[in-house]
Amino acid sequence: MMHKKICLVGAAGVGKTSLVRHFVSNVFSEHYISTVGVRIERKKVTIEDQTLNLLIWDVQGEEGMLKINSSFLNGAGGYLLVVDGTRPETASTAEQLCERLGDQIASVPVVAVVNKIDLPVDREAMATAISSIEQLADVQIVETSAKSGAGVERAFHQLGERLLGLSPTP
Amino acid sequence: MSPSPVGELRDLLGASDKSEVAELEARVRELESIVNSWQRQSERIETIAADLPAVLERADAAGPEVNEALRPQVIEAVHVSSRTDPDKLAEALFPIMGKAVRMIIANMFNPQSSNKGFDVDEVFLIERLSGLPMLHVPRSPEAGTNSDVVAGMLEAIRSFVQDSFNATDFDGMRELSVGDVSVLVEWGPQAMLAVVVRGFPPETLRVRMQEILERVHSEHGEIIDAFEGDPLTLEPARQSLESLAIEADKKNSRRTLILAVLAVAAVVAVVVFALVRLWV
Repeated sequence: MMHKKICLVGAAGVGKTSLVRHFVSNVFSEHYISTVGVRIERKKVTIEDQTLNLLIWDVQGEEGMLKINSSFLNGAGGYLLVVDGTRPETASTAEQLCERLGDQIASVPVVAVVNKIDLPVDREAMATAISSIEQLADVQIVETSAKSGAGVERAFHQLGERLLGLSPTP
Repeated sequence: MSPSPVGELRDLLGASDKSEVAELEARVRELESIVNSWQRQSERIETIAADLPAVLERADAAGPEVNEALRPQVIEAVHVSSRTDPDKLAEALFPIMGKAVRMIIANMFNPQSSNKGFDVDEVFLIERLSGLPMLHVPRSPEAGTNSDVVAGMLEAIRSFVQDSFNATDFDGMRELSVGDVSVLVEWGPQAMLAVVVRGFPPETLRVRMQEILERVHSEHGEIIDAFEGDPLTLEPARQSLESLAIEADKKNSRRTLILAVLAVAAVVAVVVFALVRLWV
């Protein structure tokens, strides 16, 4: 079985940990993320008869992501770049992060997750913000609601498909 | 009758030729002598070179005089080499330095620790960049169901410590301990070896870890370089990792046997003492 490291990154409060909670059952307790700055979860996904073990590094999002420990991102096979659909400024934060990571993120598959779609979303502002991220990385966009669980599986599966070199299902 | 001018001239020219020939013949003899001398010297050197090992061996057996005589030249040669071509000297010493340093460090530690028991619960080979498990050898099949997450957390903790304390030494984290459980970590260029130990491991365990990590890098370097997340590719290295746990088990068995023999001896001694007291 193939193991792949993926990193969940985004500004504080965009719902990264809530997304993971919907996708995996917790292995380690919550306090790990507050002490070390990262929590690692595992989820096996089966895509076209191939089982992929996703090791999900839920990296603590600090305000503006400026203080993120980038060594947590070393060796990542792909990224889930999470933004809050109700706060277009979180997409700018994600863009800044892409700029800062440069090749580290541009060379691997990225799924941009627009979370909290159960709340009123400023789609126009979000589309503008996301388009600037698309300039910096090979991005697929998935809308999710960590509250209802809508789109969460699809976001992880799309990244899994791309990690296996498959074209993501629409 | 006086010689004609032509005859006189011929005599003069002939005298000059004869003198030059004599001079050249003398020069040739001189050169032959030099060449012969070189040949004799070369033969002597070859004879000495052929006999030298036996001579040195015999001289060494006879006493320390030859060693004493050679020592200043050898020391000077090493000094010159270290100044003029230090890389070559380091290259020559590399294969023995690592082992020697490890043995010294192992001997520095309290030998008493090796008298207490320890178990190797799990052995991990982990890709150092991503923290992905490359190979996992648990002591029992039930152990280590979270091996992939544990491998990642080790790398995460290392990153956290390095970032928090601005540690420049990338390979700084070598041990984590909680109660009687320790995780010993050794770092290689592409992979790290982590061993989960219960009890009191001797320092020689770390020496073995370093040896195994070096062997895995040397024998499976190409597979490690091409690793893309599939642990099956590293299966050929499993035996090396398993040897750590097997060696620990053997030491424990030996220790148990010694303790059993000592216990039996103690019981026999008590019984003999009691019987002697009864008879006396």
